[in-house]
Amino acid sequence: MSTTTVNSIIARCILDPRFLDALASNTEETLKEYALDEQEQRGFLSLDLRRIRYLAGFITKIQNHDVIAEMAQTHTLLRHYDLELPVFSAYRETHQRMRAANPGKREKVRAFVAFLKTYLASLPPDSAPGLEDILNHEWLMWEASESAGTQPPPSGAGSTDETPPERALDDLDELVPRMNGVFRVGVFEHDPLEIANQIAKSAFDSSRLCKDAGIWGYWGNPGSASVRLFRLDYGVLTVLQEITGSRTIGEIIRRLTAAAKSEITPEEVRSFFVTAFQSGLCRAT
Amino acid sequence: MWAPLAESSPLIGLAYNRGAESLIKRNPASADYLEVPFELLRHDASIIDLKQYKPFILHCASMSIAGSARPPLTTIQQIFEWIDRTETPWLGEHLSFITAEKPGASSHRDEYAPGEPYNIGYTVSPPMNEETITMVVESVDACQHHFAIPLLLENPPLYFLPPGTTMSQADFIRSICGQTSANLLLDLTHLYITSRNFDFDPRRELLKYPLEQVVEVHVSGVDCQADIHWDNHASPVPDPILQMLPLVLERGKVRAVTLEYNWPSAMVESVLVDEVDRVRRVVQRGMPG
Repeated sequence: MSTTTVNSIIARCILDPRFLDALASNTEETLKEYALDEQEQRGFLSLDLRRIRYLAGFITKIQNHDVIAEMAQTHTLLRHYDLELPVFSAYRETHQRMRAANPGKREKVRAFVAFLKTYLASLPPDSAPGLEDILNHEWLMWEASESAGTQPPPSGAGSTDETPPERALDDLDELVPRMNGVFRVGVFEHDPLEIANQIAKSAFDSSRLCKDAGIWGYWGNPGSASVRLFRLDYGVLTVLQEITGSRTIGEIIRRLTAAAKSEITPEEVRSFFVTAFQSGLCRAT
Repeated sequence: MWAPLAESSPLIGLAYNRGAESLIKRNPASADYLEVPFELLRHDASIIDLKQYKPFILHCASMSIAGSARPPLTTIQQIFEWIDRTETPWLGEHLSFITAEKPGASSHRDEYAPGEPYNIGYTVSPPMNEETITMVVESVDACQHHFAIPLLLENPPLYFLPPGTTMSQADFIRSICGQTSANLLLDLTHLYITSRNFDFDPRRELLKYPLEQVVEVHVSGVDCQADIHWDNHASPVPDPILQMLPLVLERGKVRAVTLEYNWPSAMVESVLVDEVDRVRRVVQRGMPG
């Protein structure tokens, strides 16, 4: 008997997914380097290695509780679709690499979300309705909030970079708009707020989800440390994409008109900017 | 706090998390104590401030008591210091291993911690056999040499049977308790999980444990995924588990029952209060209400 050796093999199975794969595909060959007695050898040959694989996933989940707390609704749907253990089992290798660098929570969240997006994209279509949308929603909420938190608060009095006074709106075309804070855009198959609402009420039902493709904007406002959501139409999106911090509104209108990129009229563009200045979404220089 | 209550009914406590902290601060009467992991105190010493609200029980997962890779002396010293600062009446530790030696001949090149033992970062049951018993007895003796308070060993859940196992967990634990001064921290949820994963009657098996040496009981929720039952510290303890508690109380010298609802996604405060009351009713009346 050798408890030390058995513990060592189990620990390696949990920590090293490639070793576990090798053990599963050729148990006897993989165990050759270990001094096991006959009973221990038989024990490993008859072991359901799927259970160790899932235990590794279970441990990975526990070691990522801080990440899960940031993506709580995504986690709820992972459980709803029986994907929690498969996902965290698959994430084990990345997680182990991450442990080596002792990353902070931000790095852990970014790594997990990147992994999960790839994982979910590999699933058969429509196998987990709403899951990719809620992941994207929580990610954009988190990312906009985090990024806005690293930006300086709005400039104080006397600055040339602030909401234009009412009279300046008369010469709107001369103003140079820039985004205030962080603005992220997400494309969704289902309404993310509807999904979030169902989950919050513990009443998620994928059969009640309607395909409602839409574009949503996530504004991280450094002044209020909050994230606001806007449902965007394509016209507004093209206007937002033209904001560089150096173009005047007049230039933006001319570019949109010349490129025929949008059905939005010059008056609608101006109206958008008036609202954007008043809400604080844009500032002018 | 503890000594005068030694003869009274068991106290009901909460494993630490932010929710438990908030509850204890706003509603101090809701629970009798906080159980706090040594590893958390080492990471965030400010948690000791909560001792002004409730006494602490110190729990530990760092000693790898069922493994051959010993914890560094600095870890032992830190546990010693936190025993002193928390004034814990005993130290609970998992009857498990968390680290394991890398065999010298191993071809495994560990990028995570080259030259160091494997560190799972989570407690796992060892093979249950005579050799492991000898190893655990030596570990317990070493711990008792360092610490002046009783050591409680906690039964781990079994998700698979470790190769080399020759006896049941009940026999394994009974033998260890018979050869050491350690008492038992009986995690009823772990026992229940093991019973579901290995298809036996938990109530019948429970009676084979050395219940007369149980000092503390843990309860928490259970999850079933991939046809395997798992520990879940974010859901209420199921009735079949609570129904085992009176069997322990009438046979043991239980002084504390801890609700382990300490995962971040755990329940809202009102549910936490209800859960404490639910367990308290069982302790007082003997049956789940």
